[in-house]
Amino acid sequence: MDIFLTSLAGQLQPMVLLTMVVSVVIGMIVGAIPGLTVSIAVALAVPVAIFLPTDYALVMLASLYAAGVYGGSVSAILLNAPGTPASAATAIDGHQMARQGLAKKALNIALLASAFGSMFSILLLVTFAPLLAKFALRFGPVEMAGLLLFTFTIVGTVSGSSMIKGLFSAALGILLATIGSDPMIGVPRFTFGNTSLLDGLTYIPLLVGLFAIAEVLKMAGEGFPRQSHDVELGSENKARNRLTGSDMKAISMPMVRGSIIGSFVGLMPGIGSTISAFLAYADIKRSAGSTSKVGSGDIRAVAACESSNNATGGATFIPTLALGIPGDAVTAIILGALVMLGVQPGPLLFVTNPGIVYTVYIVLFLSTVMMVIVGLVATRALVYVLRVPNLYLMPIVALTCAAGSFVVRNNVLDTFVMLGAGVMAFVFGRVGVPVAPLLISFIVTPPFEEAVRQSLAYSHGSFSIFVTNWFSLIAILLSAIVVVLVALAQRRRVIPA
Amino acid sequence: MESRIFAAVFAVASLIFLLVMVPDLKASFSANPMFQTAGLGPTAIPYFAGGAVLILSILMFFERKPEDARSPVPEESLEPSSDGVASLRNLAIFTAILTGFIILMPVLGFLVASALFLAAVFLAFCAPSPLIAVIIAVAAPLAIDLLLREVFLIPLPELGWF
Repeated sequence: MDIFLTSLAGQLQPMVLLTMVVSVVIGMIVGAIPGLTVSIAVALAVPVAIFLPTDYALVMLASLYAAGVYGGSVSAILLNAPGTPASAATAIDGHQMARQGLAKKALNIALLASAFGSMFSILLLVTFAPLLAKFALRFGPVEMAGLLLFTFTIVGTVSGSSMIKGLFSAALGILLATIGSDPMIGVPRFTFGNTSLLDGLTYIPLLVGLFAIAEVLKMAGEGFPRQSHDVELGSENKARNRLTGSDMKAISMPMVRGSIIGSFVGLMPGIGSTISAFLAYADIKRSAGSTSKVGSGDIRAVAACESSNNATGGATFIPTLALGIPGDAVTAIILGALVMLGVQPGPLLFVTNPGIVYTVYIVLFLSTVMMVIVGLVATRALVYVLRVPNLYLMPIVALTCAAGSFVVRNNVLDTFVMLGAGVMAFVFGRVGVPVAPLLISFIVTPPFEEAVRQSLAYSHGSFSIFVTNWFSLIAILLSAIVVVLVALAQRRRVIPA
Repeated sequence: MESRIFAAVFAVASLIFLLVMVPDLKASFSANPMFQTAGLGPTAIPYFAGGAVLILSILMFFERKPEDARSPVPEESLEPSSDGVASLRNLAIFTAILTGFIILMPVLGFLVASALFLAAVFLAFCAPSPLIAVIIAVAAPLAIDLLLREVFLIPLPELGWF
């Protein structure tokens, strides 16, 4: 309790609160700008965050994440151009509402549902993360190897539309993670005699390139297109846009269902909030029946999608904190930043450094409250940000990326790593290979390699240790089942019955 | 077509990785008894990852698109369209300017290199308002420099860093 109160007092310091407000505002702005996703917002903040005390860094990164997902819904509703992929499902009904003169109502429902989804998942996080961590404390290297194998499989199979491309991305992430010193005996691998590579590919340039530079290159290829602005908030009828009791009644169950779906998806590594929002959309469409307005401006659909994608955000912290396995690309970025700050997420964190765990809980809660306040006050101002032409915005993002990559070690090699990663992710985008599996695999490969090699050293080189251990055996069997099921499902899409 | 070229490039790259780079790595430490371990050595995961990339590249080369993702225009027909050429040109120009910025940043310092970078991008992509372009080219590097250097105490390269 003392540790919790200390963490709470720490988060209520004026400078921490100011960091939170600024991060929430920036998260909303970046999330709202189509092309600048929440991943980019968090990735761009990491080079700054690693120079801050751990508390401030957590406040900055978690607040950006919490607010960025909601920010995406603003442009989804007003422009039909989702600011983040997670808001794509919201755009379907949200933009229809805006076209019917109900933009303000859609935005308020999105804000309410986002807050509900976040709070729901924070409650799950507080309840289940310690239990999961307590269970995981019994894990040895064999169990960890099995769990991480399952992570690779899930991340690779369900991250994109093609299992082959998802697994390819994951395999490439494993391969890139082998650059640098071998984790067991220190042999330099693929460093070409360059001492800068002994610590491996530097994390920040890699993630900044994968997420931000790739998007800037995409926009550059399109000649930095301008966004259209077809909805004006000022001209709307205030009475029609007021949330009524019957509206609240109508959206309450969709929000609960959306939050449950989002939280469940968040628990699975690598799936992320985009898929959870579409699952919630499919659920509300099915449950509302064929005569419903879903698809043409239904408040229940907006509520379900937004509660779901925000619930995923909080729930992804459960495997991240309890197991050290990132739930999605954004928590992968945050996990990497924590490691750079000297904090190793995983079951031991709950024993050795519970203050950090409480800080995450408190920050997520406070940033959700802050998101509601800023959202209610500043949505109208956010609309003006959407009018900044991409041509002025994207080059500034690019130079921020280059500066951020350079300052990590004052090494120009890192800026080239950033550019290389950006070009690679741009090409990935062109051919439909998802980037998230690469980043998540890159992060979990070192513990995976250590776990496998420690297990084999223990068994004198015998692989039977992985099938005689029940947990590892279940993980291997589940991995195989997931691959087979996803392959069959994708085969049915290629060859329709 | 793009997917197939991509898959072929990665298949060849992973073959080189598996047949040249990993054996070279193995040769570099196998003579040293200090590096002998029970179980897997430092080349096991590279072999596993390289093998997986190779197999998945081959599968990607032959992969058929799902029904619902097929475009009405067959991908293989490809004379590059004028849009495609313009897009490639834009991309090449921007990448060249960005590369120039990365090279010049340690030499000219962040402020000068950034201003030149922004000016070059605005010029190349015909910014609608020259005045706004000039203001941004000067103000944005100053703001970033000020924020990182003064608020977060993160040093950026200055003129004559090396």
